[in-house]
Amino acid sequence: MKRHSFTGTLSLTRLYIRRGRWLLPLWILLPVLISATVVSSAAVYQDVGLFVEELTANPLISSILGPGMSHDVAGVVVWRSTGQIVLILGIAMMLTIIRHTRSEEEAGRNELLRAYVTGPHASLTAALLIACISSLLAGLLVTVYFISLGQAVSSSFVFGLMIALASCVHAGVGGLAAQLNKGADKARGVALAFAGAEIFFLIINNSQGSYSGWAWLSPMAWHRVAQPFYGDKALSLVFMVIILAIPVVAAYVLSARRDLGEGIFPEKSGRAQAAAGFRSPLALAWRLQKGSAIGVLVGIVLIGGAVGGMAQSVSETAGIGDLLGGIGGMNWMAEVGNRNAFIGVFIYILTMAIAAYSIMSVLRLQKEEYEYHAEMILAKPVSRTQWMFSNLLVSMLCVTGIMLALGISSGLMFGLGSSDFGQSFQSIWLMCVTKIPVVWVMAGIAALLYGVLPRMATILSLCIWGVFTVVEFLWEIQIVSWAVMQFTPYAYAHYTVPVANLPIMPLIVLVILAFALQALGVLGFKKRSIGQV
Amino acid sequence: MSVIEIKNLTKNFGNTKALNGLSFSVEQGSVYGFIGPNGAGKTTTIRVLLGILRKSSGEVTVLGGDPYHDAVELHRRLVYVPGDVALWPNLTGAEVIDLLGRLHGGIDMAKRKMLLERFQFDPTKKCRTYSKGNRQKVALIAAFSCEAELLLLDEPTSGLDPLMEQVFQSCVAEAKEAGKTVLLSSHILSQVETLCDQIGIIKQGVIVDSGALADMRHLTRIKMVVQTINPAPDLHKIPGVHNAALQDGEWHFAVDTGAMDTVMQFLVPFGMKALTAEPPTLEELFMQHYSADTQKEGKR
Repeated sequence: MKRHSFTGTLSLTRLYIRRGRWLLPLWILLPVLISATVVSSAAVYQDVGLFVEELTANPLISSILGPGMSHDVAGVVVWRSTGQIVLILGIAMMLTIIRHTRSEEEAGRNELLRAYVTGPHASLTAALLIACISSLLAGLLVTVYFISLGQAVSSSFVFGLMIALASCVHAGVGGLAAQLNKGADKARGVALAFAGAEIFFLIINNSQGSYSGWAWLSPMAWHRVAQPFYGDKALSLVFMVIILAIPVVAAYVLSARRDLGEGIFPEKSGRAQAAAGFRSPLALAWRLQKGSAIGVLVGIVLIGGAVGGMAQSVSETAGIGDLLGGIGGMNWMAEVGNRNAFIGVFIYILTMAIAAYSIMSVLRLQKEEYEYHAEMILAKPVSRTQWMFSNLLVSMLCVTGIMLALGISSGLMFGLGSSDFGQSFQSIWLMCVTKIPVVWVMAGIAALLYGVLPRMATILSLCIWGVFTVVEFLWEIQIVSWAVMQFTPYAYAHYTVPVANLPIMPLIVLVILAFALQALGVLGFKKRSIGQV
Repeated sequence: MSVIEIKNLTKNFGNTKALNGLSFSVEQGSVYGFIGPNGAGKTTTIRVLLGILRKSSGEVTVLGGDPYHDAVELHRRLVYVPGDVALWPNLTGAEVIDLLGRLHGGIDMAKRKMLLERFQFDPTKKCRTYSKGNRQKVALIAAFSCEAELLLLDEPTSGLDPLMEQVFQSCVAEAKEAGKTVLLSSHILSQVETLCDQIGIIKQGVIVDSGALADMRHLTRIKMVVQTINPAPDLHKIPGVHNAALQDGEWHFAVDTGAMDTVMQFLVPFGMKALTAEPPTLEELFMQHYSADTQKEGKR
């Protein structure tokens, strides 16, 4: 690599900072915000040590998060939030890199920049720079926050740097993913597959106790390796830097071996004539969504299977602390049973992720419209209703299929280890089936927003999704009551209610609501102009 | 019979007036050239004709129907080629051509094969690998291989090489022979001059000039260069003669079509040695509207 390969890196860095001026600060602040939320929720309890002990004694909690670490506020944050922080920040960094490198190449904008005085590695370097600097800032803010809480300076640095390094690894993986194929969508697929893999390895690690070699494979579990506020294994940070170097070096090597705009894997030729069934907006919608739907399905099936398989190791008889078992005044865990509660919570979390996927899937409509693909179809004898409905139908079928597959994989793995396969399988399977209307409602909200307020649809749908998620979190830590929780669709297939006792009527209402929202969305879409106006 | 009839069409995007009382009509079987600078409202007009944009006010009829309310029925009878063809990156060219053809209600496979050859197009590649010109070919092949009464072509050959431009022109000529109606938006004036019977010049959302090219020429001046045997003085004093200048014994001037006879009568007594007369090109017509406008702007 010659020096001139990097010419223009600083100018591009400034450009990318300009383009990310709204999102980057959010990512930088996110870890400290999550930490502060957990700290304030823990502060409700006078004796934090007791709080942690009670939580870790809970078989449900310790199976999900692994055993507790240090018994103070800092320990609670590390134990409870590291995975969450690393996952969100990591995905954000991977997508940031892909956005500035592969997407730019695909759109042809990098070609324009390269025609000016810009080296071949400038774009990748600038993208990695802002991702790594953002990660470092995010980590340092966490460090400063913990020092301000009176925690040990060295431990605070270990934790902050660990967060930063875990996030940087994702940046490297994003850079690597961007080299492989010509399309940015494929790069994003690789990035999400990586995220799925680290969740998978995290679950495996936690199932084997606090620390197994698996933790190295999942940056989400690196607090088990570095042990901030617990053992402070500062040396492990050096190994993390070495791990970080692997995807980064690989990205540069591959970047040097390929042409601008091309991928390492050449684009294959395809059909000289379309398949016989490829003749409707429905067929097109399926074709466009197939790849991501199958990817999500595989990821969810693997995670669901792992959770189902692990659940048998959760003690059914261990005593449950009043603290969690008594959430919302219900003695829910006794009713549901520890193992079912364990799977129930996981399915609940996965449902939230699938709800986010369903929103993004519906909003492909917007992408198709803004990229002028919709225009090509609507210039044919295809009604607006037919076009929008075809896309919605595919989205609904995909998320339904994913929920059912989740039920089958987790139910199967759970049932196989139990004495009564039929009963075990059915209870898990039903947990997933009853959440289908919930996901449909989330898709319905996105469809309505797309039809009526297309420009705001993405941001508003994701905000609504975020609010529902935060409400659940606030309810868990008992800041808001069930009365508030009832405004979210999640409340009607909640993990605290044994699935056999769920009232059916609210679920039917949710289904009707989902269809009504989508119908309104189609009505709105029929009445407006098409295109970015 | 008019295939397209537009009266006082306006379209606003927020405070921006994209179309500002636009009126024109396209007769059945004719090729209508729709020309104007960038941002004049050509694409907006075509999108209103497709029912993709809703008009703000005015009357629009396409093939006897309302383009917004009767969109599906009308689209069985027309095809559209956008100026900047956006394709699904992971489909092949062939898949897009076939999908669009089937959505239209059927594709003529023999015609498709013939067009693939004429446009020298490899349809097996993924759309993300196609250049601008090749994406344009996908839309052109899809459009010409469908049976349609009306072709809406919005700068259809941007990015095509001159050879392919020729292929395109012969395809339009064939469509015209078959009695189809074509609306061709373009700023390649030679293309419009060759293909179109009727022309409308659009500027800032209104038609500023329209008609057959021959008629439009009558309204403008003819450029002449004349060399006489005996020097002809005072030519510039004849009414209807403009910008007259004597260079190397040749008179260069422009003459109003109505003053032609007077000029010839004046010149003949001096004895004619050489004479060239050029009717104005479309480009000059276009520039006349264009520069009139820039002059106005200059005065502000």
